[in-house]
Amino acid sequence: MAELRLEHIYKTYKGGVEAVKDLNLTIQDGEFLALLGPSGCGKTSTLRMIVGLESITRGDLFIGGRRMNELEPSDRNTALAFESYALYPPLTVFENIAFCLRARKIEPSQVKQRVTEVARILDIEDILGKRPVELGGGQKQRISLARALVRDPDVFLMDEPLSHLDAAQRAHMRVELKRLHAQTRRTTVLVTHDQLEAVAMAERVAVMNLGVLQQVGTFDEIYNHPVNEFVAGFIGEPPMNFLPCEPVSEGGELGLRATDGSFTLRLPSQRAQQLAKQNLKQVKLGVRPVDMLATSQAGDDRIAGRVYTYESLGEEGQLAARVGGHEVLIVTPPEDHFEPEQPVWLGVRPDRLHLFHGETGAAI
Amino acid sequence: MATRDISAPDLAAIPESEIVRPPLMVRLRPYLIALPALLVLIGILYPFVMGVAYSLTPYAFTRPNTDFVGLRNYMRMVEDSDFWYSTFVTLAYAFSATGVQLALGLTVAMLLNRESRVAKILQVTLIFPMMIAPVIATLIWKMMMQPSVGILNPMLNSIGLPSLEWAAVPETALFSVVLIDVWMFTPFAALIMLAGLRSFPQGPFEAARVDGASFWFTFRNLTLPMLTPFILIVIIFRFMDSLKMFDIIFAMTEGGPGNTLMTYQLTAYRTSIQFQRLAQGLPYAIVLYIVIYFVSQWLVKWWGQAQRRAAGYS
Repeated sequence: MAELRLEHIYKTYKGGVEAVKDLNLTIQDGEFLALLGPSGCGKTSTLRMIVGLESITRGDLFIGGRRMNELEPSDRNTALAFESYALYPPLTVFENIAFCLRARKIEPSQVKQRVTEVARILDIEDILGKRPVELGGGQKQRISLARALVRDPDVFLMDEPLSHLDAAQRAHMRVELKRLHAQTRRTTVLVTHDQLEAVAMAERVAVMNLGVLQQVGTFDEIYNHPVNEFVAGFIGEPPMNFLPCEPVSEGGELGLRATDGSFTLRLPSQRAQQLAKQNLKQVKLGVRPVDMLATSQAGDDRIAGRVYTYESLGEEGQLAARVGGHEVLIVTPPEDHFEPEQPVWLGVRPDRLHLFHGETGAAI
Repeated sequence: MATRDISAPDLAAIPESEIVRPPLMVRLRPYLIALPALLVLIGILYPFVMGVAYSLTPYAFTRPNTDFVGLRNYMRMVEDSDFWYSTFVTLAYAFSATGVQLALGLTVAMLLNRESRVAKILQVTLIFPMMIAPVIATLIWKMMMQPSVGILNPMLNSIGLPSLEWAAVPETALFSVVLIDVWMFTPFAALIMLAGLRSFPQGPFEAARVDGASFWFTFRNLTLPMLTPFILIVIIFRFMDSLKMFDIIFAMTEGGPGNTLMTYQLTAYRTSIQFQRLAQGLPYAIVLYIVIYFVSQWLVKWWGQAQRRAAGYS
């Protein structure tokens, strides 16, 4: 077990594609960190650089204080569960899991014991004699996890480990992986595009986009205080609504007016002061669908809109309303019902609104 | 509940005039399509059957006698010590040539299985030996092995090794012809195995690197089992081919010195054609056929199994 530290890591592929740019990240000894981002954001490249399957173009990688840049994958003592499973086709499941132990010349009796134990945890004891080609995606993925878990690595890495499991297996594996981490306190990095996975398992989340690390923190920090428009829009389901606005002064108080003039909104004094300091022409108002309410009554500080679609989802409803030229999504309580084209008035929780720089997207 | 009659209508019950027959060309088409294959089959089978038939007679070109004598020619062949020596030479040639080509080819394939410009250039040049007719290649090698003007002995001497008499003496005759066979066909073995290596998914090999497996551990447990079908393709082609090798040996020594290199194929040719005793030479060719038939059957079956095993089916 060891601390994993990435300092100014760059990855440039042949042909000039910059997959990772100036990545600085420290994963504490024993910590569980999720690397979250959309596909192509550089998270898998980062993972492959950590295990050594991809060379590091620039920067330094430390595991347990030791610089690892030039070390072979086999000398880094990291374990990786591949997204594509990468199982050994000619070998049985048992041999697949035992491969790394046998490669390290561990005694056969101990190999058997450790493989059986891991197989029990991952519920694959009954298929130990089969070969990968005979198995389904979920089973293969669990073998891939077993192969990484059977070792005692300094850093344990998982690339989309639950992507091919069905919903029930996924929930089960989330719990198992989290429990396993709590037991072993292994430094763990999980790469995923699924925020639910990240929240459920990881202690901290690092959000990446276009090769650049956007924000690192606990999920609460990232959810409540996103540093920019990308993080705000990527985290949270359904995603945050963004409305382009311009600051306007009204009777000495700073408020917001929609760029298309469809509404004006007063700001809480604290937010207004923050905004006033920046002296911006353009801002983006960000509000999560859960932080809005929709009523059929007009009121002060309500935004007028028109129902576009309404879906009743049982526990809640999702209302899409048109405000000026923009579509706004609101999560509504289950007892409310809306008809298309019906006028609605939308309220925003003033303490839950986010403001972003109109051009850079940085949070204000 | 009444069951419905679903049996075929009784064709005999339909009046002749109502049966519509397809046009002649349509009816003939399947036979026409099969005709070329049939002709080829006749072209192969006729000489083969004739060969078997003549081997059961005392036929010689000088005395064309077609009396049936049963297996007399075969009995004589088996009683002849030359036959057993010939068996030995044939197998020795096939095993050593195939074995060396496999080992060398696999090494070359492993070395070329990487992304580099040198590998790309070498891959192309590998094909050159295969573009030369074996007889021509052998004649060139023969010149290089020539004791007074050949280039090989001076090369050996320059690194401190003594001169060899190559195919001129029994001790090194087999070595010399196998050397040419290896030179000609190692690229073939290498290319087949390289194609195999290139077809592998990268994932398992990356996983093996992360798992900390050494080169040899990965080679033994992963590369070799996955490569077995390709190795067997090489064996099927090269072993069959070298069992019936004729041109290199014939161009080199015509089977000599003495009878050192008299394989089945050479013996069959010499007895049947040069000595004009057709019926006495034929058993060699037929025994060779039987050996190749059964060995290839067995190898192809093994190949199918290896293919399934490499993919992970038990």
